[in-house]
Amino acid sequence: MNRVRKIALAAVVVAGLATIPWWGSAVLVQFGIGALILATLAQSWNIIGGYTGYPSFGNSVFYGLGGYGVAIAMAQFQLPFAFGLLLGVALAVSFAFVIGLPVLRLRGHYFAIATLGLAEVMTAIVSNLEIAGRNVGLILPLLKGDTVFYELSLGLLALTTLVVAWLSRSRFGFGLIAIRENESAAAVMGVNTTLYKVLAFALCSVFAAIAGGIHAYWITYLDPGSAFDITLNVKMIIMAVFGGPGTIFGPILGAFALSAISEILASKITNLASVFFGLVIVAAIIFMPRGFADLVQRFRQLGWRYFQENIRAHRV
Amino acid sequence: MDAILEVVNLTKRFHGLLAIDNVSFALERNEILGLIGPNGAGKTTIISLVSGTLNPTAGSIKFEGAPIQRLPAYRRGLLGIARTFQVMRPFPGLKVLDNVAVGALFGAAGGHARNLRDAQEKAGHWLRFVGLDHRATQRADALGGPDRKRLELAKALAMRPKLLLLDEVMAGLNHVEIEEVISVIKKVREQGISILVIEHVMKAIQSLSDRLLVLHHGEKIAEGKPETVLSNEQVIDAYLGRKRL
Repeated sequence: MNRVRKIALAAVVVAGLATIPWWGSAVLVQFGIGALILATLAQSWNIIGGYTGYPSFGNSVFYGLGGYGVAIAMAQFQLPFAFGLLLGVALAVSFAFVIGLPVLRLRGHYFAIATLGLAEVMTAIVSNLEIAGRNVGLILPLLKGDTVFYELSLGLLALTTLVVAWLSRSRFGFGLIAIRENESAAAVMGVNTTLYKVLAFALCSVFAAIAGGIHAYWITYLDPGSAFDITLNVKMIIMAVFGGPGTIFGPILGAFALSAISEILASKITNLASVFFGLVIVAAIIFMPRGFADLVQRFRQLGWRYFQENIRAHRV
Repeated sequence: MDAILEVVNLTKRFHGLLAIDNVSFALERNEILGLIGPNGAGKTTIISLVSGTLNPTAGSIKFEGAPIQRLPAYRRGLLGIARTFQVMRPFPGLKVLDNVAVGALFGAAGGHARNLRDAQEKAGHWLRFVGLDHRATQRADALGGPDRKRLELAKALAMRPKLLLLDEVMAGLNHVEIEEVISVIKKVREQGISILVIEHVMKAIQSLSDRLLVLHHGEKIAEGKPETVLSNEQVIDAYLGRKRL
């Protein structure tokens, strides 16, 4: 009964969010698209970073490849948007396999550092490709109205979240969690760790690529710098960690909360917005290092002691 | 003779250190073979080589007649080899029950559980088997030392192995707990599982093992019935030092 109620609640929330373009302001809808895409990216990072325990800095490459798939298909070959999405996903998944096989052998910090350079490499490559418009970029055909993009983004976030929910109850997902918790113990228990890690990487690349494709079509313009932006990857990580990595709803909560905070700060105090945003992040790390999801779960038991214990546990 | 595990001329070198030096032995089906020796003798290295956590420098390991020394660890798990770790490696953030469920979801032949709920039911069975069911819903990192030892055992058993490699599952336990673990291991053997066991608790290993194998500085110095091996002079020397006359 409890589970049925949860699913019903989630469906009602999604349906409610879906009505926003019909009564919300243009500003709200545009903010919504940005927040939904970021939430999708945080959620897809959650698969490799949160569930598998491999903090990837390569996810912005998947996002960029998804964008370029759509841009190349639509601007260079006048093909439909859906075909562009398929092309973008194919590019991202191939990249995930080719890069994943060598770099997923590295653990922890070494993996993070190895993926850190990928975005730079892709920027350099794409800047020299005629078909991708070199460093000038590509201009996509204009589709008027934000509603379509809003609903697409919402649908994608719902789909990504369903996959993550499936992960948390499936054999495949348990394999990933076992890898995160102790990789060598997972291996002796029969988990094909290399295969599972590469599959997780490829799975998260699918959603990041679709998000990139939707965003490129919405903005109608794509250049290497904005497509392969490492700060976007940093955002995914901050949002997923803020919300609670390795949980189903944490990354979404983190993405919505931080998008809202940064939007409010940017409109109230333009110049110092990023300083205050940094303060919010620092406070979050100190008071709720295991994310918002953990706070929600344990605050009920512990009350204000929750924050005291976190500060005490992480004192240097 | 029907050996489930055959180790021939096994050698492991860590850079300059010869950890295992040309060791050969066989483990019969349904046998309990005790592996003893002073600290640093290479006992854990043997288990790591058989389970695939380490790769041998030379020599061969046959499981049910097929060579496995080049297979990755997970393939050996699928074949039916399970091990425990002396320095316990639980999945700290997972519930105790889910730790064991991983064994049922994966393990020998790719796991015998149909889905997560089934795996958790089977995990519950193994937790009762080792006497840890009262802590099923706690996180694994909330367990103390003795309970972590039991968890290691339950995780390995949930894999439904044919060969179980136990690395000091009794270290740090008190007398009562040791008796409990001994009876658990005997029950495991009754299910037809072959067992290679490392133990420092001499009384325990004597009463458990059909045969003993003694390692010293990576070399096999004795093998045979517990009584004969433990009265062997070379073995006594290795443990207590040479008598000076």
